[in-house]
Amino acid sequence: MNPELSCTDASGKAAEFGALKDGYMFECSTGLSRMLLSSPTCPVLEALGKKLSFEIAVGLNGRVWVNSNSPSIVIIVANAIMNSESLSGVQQKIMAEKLLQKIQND
Amino acid sequence: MDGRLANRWRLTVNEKKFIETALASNLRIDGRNPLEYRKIIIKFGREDGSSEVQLGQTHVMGFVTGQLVQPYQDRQNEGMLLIFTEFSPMAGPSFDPGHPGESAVELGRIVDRGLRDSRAVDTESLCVLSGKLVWAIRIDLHIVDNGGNLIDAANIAALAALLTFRRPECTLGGDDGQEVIVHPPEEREPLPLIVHHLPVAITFAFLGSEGKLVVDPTHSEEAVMAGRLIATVNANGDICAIQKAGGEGVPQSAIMHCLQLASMCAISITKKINSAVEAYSTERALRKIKRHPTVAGNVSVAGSDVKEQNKTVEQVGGSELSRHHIERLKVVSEETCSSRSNDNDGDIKSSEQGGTSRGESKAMNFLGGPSNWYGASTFQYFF
Repeated sequence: MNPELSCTDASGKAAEFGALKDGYMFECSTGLSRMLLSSPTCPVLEALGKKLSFEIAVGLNGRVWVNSNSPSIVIIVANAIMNSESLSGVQQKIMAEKLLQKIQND
Repeated sequence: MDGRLANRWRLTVNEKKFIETALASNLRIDGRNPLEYRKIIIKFGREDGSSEVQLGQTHVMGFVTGQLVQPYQDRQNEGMLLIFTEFSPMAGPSFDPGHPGESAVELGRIVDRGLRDSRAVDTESLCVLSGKLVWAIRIDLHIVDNGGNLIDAANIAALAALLTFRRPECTLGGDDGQEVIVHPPEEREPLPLIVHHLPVAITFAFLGSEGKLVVDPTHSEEAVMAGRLIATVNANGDICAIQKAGGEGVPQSAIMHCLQLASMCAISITKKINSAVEAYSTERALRKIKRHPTVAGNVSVAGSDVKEQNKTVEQVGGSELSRHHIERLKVVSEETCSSRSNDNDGDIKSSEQGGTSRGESKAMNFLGGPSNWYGASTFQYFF
């Protein structure tokens, strides 16, 4: 059997959906993925987005895909998201900022 | 597991490609550099010979027990060392509770070879009655969580448990000197095993088509690696065992490089194990001090405190003097206990020290009034 996949939105159009190339996909809990998708941007993504430029796709099944120009940024973003599993909003912001500071000092 | 819901033994193409791309810039997905070890935490349980080791997300527990058995026919003067591994299903979904898989058997063999072939544990000292009774030391390794690199963590757990294990003392008695009397720990202080050196296992994973080297692989790195080499070395630089089972071919220069890296890693890991064991032994010896409610202040190990109590005791009077003698004895025997545990190189002098401290430790176990006099009268010639 050769499966074929096509990505379309509800009306059948392509609408920027498509195969994810490069980047890094990792798993997190479904609760965390819901928080990452929440409407006022989640604190960890906001703190990271202020300093780094990256592309992110989050699935409700708990899979997150991150892509950026350099692998180091991808690793920082992935680790920051994985660490924010059990943290509150304020704690996430502090954790992300500490991580960014550590990278900048190196 | 890592916060992940699926412990997949084979990762997606995307993850594999990213791990290799990141490694090209000397980065690993958890932020380490390729030759860096994860944080090692060594903890001990209440009982002698139980250890718990955490290497990042990997979690292993080790238990050492001893039993008197008949020796093998061809090794009548030597004790036995047996290693059993248990891969708990809670460590990962690929582990079955019943029969051990290939990786479980490999882990047991590597730990066993490192200890047995390098003669790290002195088996001749385990002989009680030649040809009839010897000590069989059993090491049980329980894998609690698989975050990658189980072999190194299990090896550290085995070493930590062996160093803190204490076996009961046996003497020969009876009419013909053939009867073995096993002394309970309350009667005679149990003895540590004689461990000559610590063989530490270091795992190297080869990733990607060029065979890039990483030390201490995590679970995802293990899932995408092309080959693996485990080198068991000790802090002196001796190679105790090397294991390379299948996988990509590796040039000889890479193997030599691995061995050099392994001896450097082994030195730092040996230091961590030794300091953890020392901290445990001091705490264990402190637990054995019985505190007298009548003497002002607590008995402590530091010499200066004992001198202070000397002054207060002399003021109190003659009847207290006997208890003061016993306190001094406790401090002396406790110092010999902690110095004894430092003798990891297994000199003969450790057993001699054991002899003298055993006599003094008899005084330690006295609880009440009349026996104080016995202690004082026996040791009065000291003062």
